Amino acid sequence: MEREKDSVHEEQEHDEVVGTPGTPEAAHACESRSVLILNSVLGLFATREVGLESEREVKSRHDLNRVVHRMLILGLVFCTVTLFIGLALSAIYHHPLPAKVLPFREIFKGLKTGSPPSFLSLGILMLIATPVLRVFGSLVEFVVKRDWRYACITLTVILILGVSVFIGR
Amino acid sequence: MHVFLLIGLLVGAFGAMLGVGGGIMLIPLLTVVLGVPIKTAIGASIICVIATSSAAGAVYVGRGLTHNRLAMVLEIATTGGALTGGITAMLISPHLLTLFFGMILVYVAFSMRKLPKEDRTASPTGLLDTSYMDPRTGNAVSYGIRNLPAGMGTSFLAGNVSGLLGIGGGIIKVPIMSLVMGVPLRASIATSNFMIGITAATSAIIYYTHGYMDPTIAIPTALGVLVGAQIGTRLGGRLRSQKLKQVFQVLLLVFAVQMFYRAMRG
Repeated sequence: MEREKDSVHEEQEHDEVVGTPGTPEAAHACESRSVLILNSVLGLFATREVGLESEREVKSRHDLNRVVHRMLILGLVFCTVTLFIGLALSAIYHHPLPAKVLPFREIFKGLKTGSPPSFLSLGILMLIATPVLRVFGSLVEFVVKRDWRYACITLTVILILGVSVFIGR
Repeated sequence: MHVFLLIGLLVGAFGAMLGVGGGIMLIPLLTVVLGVPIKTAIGASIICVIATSSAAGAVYVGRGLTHNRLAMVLEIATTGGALTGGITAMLISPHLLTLFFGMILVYVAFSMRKLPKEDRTASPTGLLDTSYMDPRTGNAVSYGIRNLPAGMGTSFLAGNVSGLLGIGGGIIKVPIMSLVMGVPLRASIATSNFMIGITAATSAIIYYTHGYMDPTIAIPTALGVLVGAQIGTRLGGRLRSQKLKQVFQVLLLVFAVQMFYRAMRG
């Protein structure tokens, strides 16, 4: 509501400044109006009026950073550990590095028997999963903070990721 | 294996310093110097892009430079593009892919001239406002976003290029964010770094399910990249960007010529 009032108010101010139609001032005023409309549409993503962030917003940003940071570290550590296990097993059993990354089911069968290709494949999959983890972590954080707008935006990204999984099948 | 490790190290460091995934260097190095088939090289490159993004990202997010919300918004367009690009890559011939790659190298080499050397005056705009602490001056820098629709459009394009050619797309995203969208350079590098991870994950899934992931190449290179990225994020603030850019541009053009030659040779 506040935003619409401001837009109208700004338009009125512009009208006063405009003066004779056909002058550069008038052209400029019209341009500003379409920019205002565009900005209202973009209001979907906007946070608030121009100005300094509130303390709550700053804190929510810091919290989000922390969550994302943790997800990244989690993914990276898991991935590096798995890859090193795989490489170690590879060296111990004199097993050469596999030429292809194994599909999902074969990985889990192989893990129990300690086969190097399984660990290596898992490591790579974990690496691919790390950004995804980052996105999921953000989603949870947005939901917890009840930021539904960004929860939906994040969900859309996850949806597209999901489509890429189905493309392969 | 050691060759791949070394290559990964170099690529990871460079990539982290410039906010790009390093794929732009990695793929030519793999295909031209080591004779790896292009679709496999792309598969390995995608893994390394994710590695760079995650490793350098951990540092950037820790410093509060990454604009997480902007990244999410732009990622809608970028992942959509990555999907389209990845599917197309599966369908077209390797020679065409190599040709496209050569063209992108030329574009990147020339577009790098436009990177701003210093932060332009950043100011809040009411749209996706945020701020970060500049490590050099210790001051808080506040900024907002401009020209979001243009940003979305180019993000979709960048996503396509990423899915098609296995590069992160950061070379497109960093200039767009810093020149068009009003994001200060450091923040755009950090944010782009985050975004390329997600974009690459989308294409990675497609390449993985179609069997183009080769662990013999991907793993040593990825490990090298992980270490290189750590070095790169820490060096990035100190090296003179002008010199770095020039060296990079020359290398890109050299590789572009090589790739055109390979594409034509049939």
